[in-house]
Amino acid sequence: MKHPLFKSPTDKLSPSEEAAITQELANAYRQNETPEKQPEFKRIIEKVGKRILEEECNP
Amino acid sequence: MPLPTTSLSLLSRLRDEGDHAGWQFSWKRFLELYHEPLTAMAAGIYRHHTGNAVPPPQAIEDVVASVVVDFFKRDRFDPNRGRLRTYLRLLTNARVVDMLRKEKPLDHDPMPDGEEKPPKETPEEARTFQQSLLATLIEDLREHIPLRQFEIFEMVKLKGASPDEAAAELGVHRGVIDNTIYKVMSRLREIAANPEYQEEYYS
Repeated sequence: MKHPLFKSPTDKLSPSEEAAITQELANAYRQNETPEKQPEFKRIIEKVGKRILEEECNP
Repeated sequence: MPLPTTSLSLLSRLRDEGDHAGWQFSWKRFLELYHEPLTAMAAGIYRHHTGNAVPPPQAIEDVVASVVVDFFKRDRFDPNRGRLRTYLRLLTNARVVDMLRKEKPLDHDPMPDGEEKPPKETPEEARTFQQSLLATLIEDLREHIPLRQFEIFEMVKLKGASPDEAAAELGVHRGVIDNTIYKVMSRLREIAANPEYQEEYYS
């Protein structure tokens, strides 16, 4: 079934479809709003930074 | 700064920032947006190749870090040749396979020939990718509308304030909030109508 977000922009959405879109967007926004508070995210950031630095020092 | 011509060009533009500071910002933003699906992909692929062994968190973090470095430093993603979703999956699978091979002696290849393809995507992996894609859509929207409009949209639709609360906080009439939300939702749907989004969204 097609997700209501991807219906043609000219199609009218029902209130429940609009509510579903809002809920999903809010969830996605929350998930990505403050990833730096997650310890595993901080560790990955450090690893990427270290590897990039290593590559730049030893191309 | 020119606006991207297509929705997912945001990702291409993230990669192609020329100056060093911009580039640093780019990979961090990419990681913020996509670390959850990459982590889910890496864990699922690890389990597949090891007969359902529990993936060590540190190994998964190493794989995700390698994928991000590869994405920005080595392999070029060309949207004309396939989906970002498939590309990240192949890249993640390759890094998991590399890691498993390094861990095992040469005569104990954990993946006999022909068994190193990525497994089928799990529902959890699909869900996390869809969430990241929606977060990318929000980023695209932010770049396509005036800041004030985005602030109103963010307050009401993303953070859950009522239109009356938003009107009171911003010192505007309720009608301004309603009109802005209508306009922004229309713009959001126009951006989401880009075929790239739909191709990436569905498994």
